[in-house]
Amino acid sequence: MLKQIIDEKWIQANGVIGLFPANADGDDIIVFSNEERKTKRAVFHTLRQQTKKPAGQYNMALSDFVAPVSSNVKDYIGTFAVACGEGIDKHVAAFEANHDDYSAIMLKAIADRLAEAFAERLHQRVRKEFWGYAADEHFANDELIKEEYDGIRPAPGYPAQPDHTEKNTIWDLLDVEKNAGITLTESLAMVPTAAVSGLYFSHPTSQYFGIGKIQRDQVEEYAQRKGMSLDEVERWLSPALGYEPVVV
Amino acid sequence: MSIHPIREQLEMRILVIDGAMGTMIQRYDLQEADYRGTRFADWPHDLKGNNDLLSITQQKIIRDIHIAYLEAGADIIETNTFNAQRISLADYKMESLSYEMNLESAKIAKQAVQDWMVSNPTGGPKFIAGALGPTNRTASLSPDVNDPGFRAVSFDDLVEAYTEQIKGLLDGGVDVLLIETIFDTLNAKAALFAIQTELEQRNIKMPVMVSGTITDASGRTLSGQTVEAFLNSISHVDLLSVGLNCALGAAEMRPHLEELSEKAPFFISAYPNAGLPNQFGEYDETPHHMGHQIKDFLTSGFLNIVGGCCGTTPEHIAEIAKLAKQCPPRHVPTADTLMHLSGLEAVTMRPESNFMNIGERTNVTGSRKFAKLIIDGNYEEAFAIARNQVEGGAQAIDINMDEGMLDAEAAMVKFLHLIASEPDIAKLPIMIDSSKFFVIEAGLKCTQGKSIVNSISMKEGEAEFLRQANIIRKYGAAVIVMAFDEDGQADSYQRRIEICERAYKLLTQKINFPPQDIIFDPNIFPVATGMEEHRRNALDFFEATAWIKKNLPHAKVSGGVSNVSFSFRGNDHVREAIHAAFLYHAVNAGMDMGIVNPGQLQVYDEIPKDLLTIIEDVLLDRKDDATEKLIAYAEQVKGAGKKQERDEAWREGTVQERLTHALVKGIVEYIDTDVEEARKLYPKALHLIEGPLMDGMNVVGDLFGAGKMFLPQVVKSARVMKKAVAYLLPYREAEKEVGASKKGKILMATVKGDVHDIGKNIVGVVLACNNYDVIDLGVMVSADKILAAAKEHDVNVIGLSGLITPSLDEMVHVAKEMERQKFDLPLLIGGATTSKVHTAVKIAPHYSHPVIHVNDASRSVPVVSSLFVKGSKARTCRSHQCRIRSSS
Repeated sequence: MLKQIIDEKWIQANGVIGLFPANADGDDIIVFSNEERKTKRAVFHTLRQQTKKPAGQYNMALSDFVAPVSSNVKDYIGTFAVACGEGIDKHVAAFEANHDDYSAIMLKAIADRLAEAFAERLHQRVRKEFWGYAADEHFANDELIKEEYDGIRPAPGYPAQPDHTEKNTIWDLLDVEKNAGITLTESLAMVPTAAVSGLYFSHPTSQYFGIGKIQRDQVEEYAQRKGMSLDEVERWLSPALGYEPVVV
Repeated sequence: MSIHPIREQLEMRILVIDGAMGTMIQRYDLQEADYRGTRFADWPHDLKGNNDLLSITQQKIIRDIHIAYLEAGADIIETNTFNAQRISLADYKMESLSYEMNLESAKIAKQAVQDWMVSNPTGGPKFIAGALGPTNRTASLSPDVNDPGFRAVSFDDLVEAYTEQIKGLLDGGVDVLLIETIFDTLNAKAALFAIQTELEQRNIKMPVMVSGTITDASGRTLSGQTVEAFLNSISHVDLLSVGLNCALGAAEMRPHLEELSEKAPFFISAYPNAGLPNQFGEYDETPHHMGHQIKDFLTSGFLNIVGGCCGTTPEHIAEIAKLAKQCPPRHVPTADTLMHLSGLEAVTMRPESNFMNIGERTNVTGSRKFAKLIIDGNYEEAFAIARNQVEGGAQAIDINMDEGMLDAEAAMVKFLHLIASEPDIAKLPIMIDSSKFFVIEAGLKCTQGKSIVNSISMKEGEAEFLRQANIIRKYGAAVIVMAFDEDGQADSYQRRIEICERAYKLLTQKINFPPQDIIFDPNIFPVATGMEEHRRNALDFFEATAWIKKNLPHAKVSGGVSNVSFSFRGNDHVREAIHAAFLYHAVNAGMDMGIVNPGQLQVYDEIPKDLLTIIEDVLLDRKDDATEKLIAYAEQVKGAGKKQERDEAWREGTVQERLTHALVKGIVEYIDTDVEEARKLYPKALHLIEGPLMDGMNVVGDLFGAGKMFLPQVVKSARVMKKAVAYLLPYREAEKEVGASKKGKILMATVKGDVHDIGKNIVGVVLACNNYDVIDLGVMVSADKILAAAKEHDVNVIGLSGLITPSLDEMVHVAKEMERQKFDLPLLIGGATTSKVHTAVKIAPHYSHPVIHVNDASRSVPVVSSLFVKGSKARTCRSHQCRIRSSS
């Protein structure tokens, strides 16, 4: 089927990336309008692990991978959204009309994988060309799979940042709906489904992690930073809460 | 040679074997301290339940139970040693006591018989059977579904453990040995191997009984063999009896017993449970009721030995003994002289059988592609090659791992372990092919079926030849003998027949190797090589084959066919024609089987006449210039071999068979034609759906349930079913019929705000395959739409799916709404972020009816079907969820 998808050009891949001057401010990442770094254009909010760790290890937040404002280092953050879903609907419908659930499911699954592959390829080009912080990077395929390169591309809604609402910031910054044709549902699921979005961090020690369970103090403070009610934040973060929220 | 007294008795009457030991021990209500006695008071491990230990700590109880069964009329009593080998005893850290337990158990049984005989001097004779259980591990299955190549116990471990047990039983004075409750034939073969070796060393003979267990209604052992395949796998030993015990009640055992009774050249035994266990795990069939079933077996002439297993008591045995006295014993048929083989299924070579194709592509020396896959560790694709051979019509599969880059022994073991869990391949007998005998032996230790060894020869002299053959005989395999001796490979007619005759005599006269299990490979050499001395290569083979079949009774002839066309490598068109012509003549001469690529066989009649003539001139050495002509012809037609075709023989079956085949194999090509044909046989389209189509899907459902079909295959089957139903739709509308009787209606939806549906769709297909009516509302469905649809369609279950975290909340919302609107339907929860804990803690408390988390599609059917069994699942699920809630 993959061959047929390629030969008959079933799927169109759409994607958009953006690179912005940025510095961390506590657990927030401030995106500036320009290199002068005077005006805020947007803020990415991150969450910090709250677990007891052995001496020498610290609780991570994504903002740790961006240089703080106080350092005067001109750091950057990237963000992206890609999709490989455009075009599959009619083929899925044709399969279903032909009672071929197998192919319908398979096509969706392949589109999903292709979106992931697209994200992976785009990340590579960002590292080597667009951002270019690793222009000399040369990795074999399995080294790429093992993520031996510098930098990560975490996605809102996944363990390092379980809050899906951060997608709204990406959508605003990149005008994703217009530039990549991906819309968000009220629960912030991406349509088409075969889509990936996230942030780019370049710091060599940046890594994927899970924030684990977080406590009320951080959630209250996070709600304040985001300008959302505690109740609403708790709802979006419900699987990550390390406490029982008060039901109103 | 004197006849063993138990054989004498069995010729005259039906013997009764005793009932359950465990059930009788339960009556004593023994506690931990009773099990320990004084000797093991300080044993560091719990011992309650270690019934075999009672032969040391509570000897009187065991003796009394034996006496009770002797009183009830048992002729054979079993020693209390079901678990008394070191593998099972490891549960109690009592490995070191295996020998002693067996010795003591045998002695107690012997004492019991002696004591009983004192008061009943004319009651004999009574026999003591040394019981060897199956152990608690399986040698041909992996306990870990994620690692099908893993084995928790090896053949060698089993042989060692059984040997120790056998030594104890023999030293304690048992009269016969009984391998019982066999759920994995490979375990039983290890026991048989240990018995043969121990008896050889003591230079004694002792009757051996074997009793297998059919674990479910499919009629197969736990390790997947049919009854006949099981019989073929153990018949290399001259058994006293073969039979069935445990697992099933008498009624369910009947058809399998009937089959054994028809086919086995041994006495037949049966000792079923007292019915099936009730919900408390107890057996409650009364002696009278069980006797009723047993009487049916006896009057049908199925049995020579009868008794009881789990749940039976002296009362049951007394009833059975009374009935056994009234019936004559089954007459034992004499053994045939056919070659019986088996994988998960049986294969018998009969005189009228066609030529047997042995798939050659799973051979690293012959198939570069297969070799590469194995070296790269790409076993999935290597299975595809094997599967291709099966579909192409192979009746056995040759497996060879002799390649410099490979550890042949390890690769053989790994491949055999892995294909054991591929039932469509493992159904066939395996041909274990290696030039290294240790690789062959390693292979024999992995195959529960009766395999063929390929090959041994007299290359290293008679002694080594006989040593190897004797080992093969003990594992229970047929053997290919190469026409090869100390002086080299036989290359003339005379040398071929001399070597084969000498080997045949050695095997049959010196070590009693069954002649029907000897297969000669009289060497197929290339033709048309241009060398004068090769001119008679094919002809000598044909003539030697004819001589062997005439002069060496029951022996078979085989050969590696593709050798013959070696000179035409790269020219598949000519090669295939040569193979077909060669086989035609070889089969006429009596060749029984051959190693071929079954997917690539030209039909003899379809070989172009001009080509056939030239080929036959070469094969039969008819013309001096035949070789040049063939080479010239080959030059012209280089290229295109016959395109591989799948076996379309299934199209010859009845329409029901074709529908079932199409459903199981997921073939849509002919479904409309077949449905149209079937439609004419049924008054209404509905009857066709509920009859043959549903029967076909039930086969699919059963195979899936038994782990013999996998999800992608089931999805394909579903497609065939949907196609068939869609074809019938206009007819059903014309008949104004609605709502075929489905098992139940299930409503499914991806919740509001979420668009992920791959998993949900798979669940939908699996449920539809299992005859549930699935209503799928799609993605981003709000609670009110879900609930309105549930009412409108009057569904039985609602299933919610979602992937992203906000969907978890939406599911809670749906649950609250269901509570508010007073629904009482079960609610199923699935999707990547959902979990058992979340369901129990966050969703279930909001809804007073069952809320069940379904981890993946394969769980959907068991969960849903249990919901339709009133009450059961929901209740246990609730209490389990309470526990999760309190612990989280």
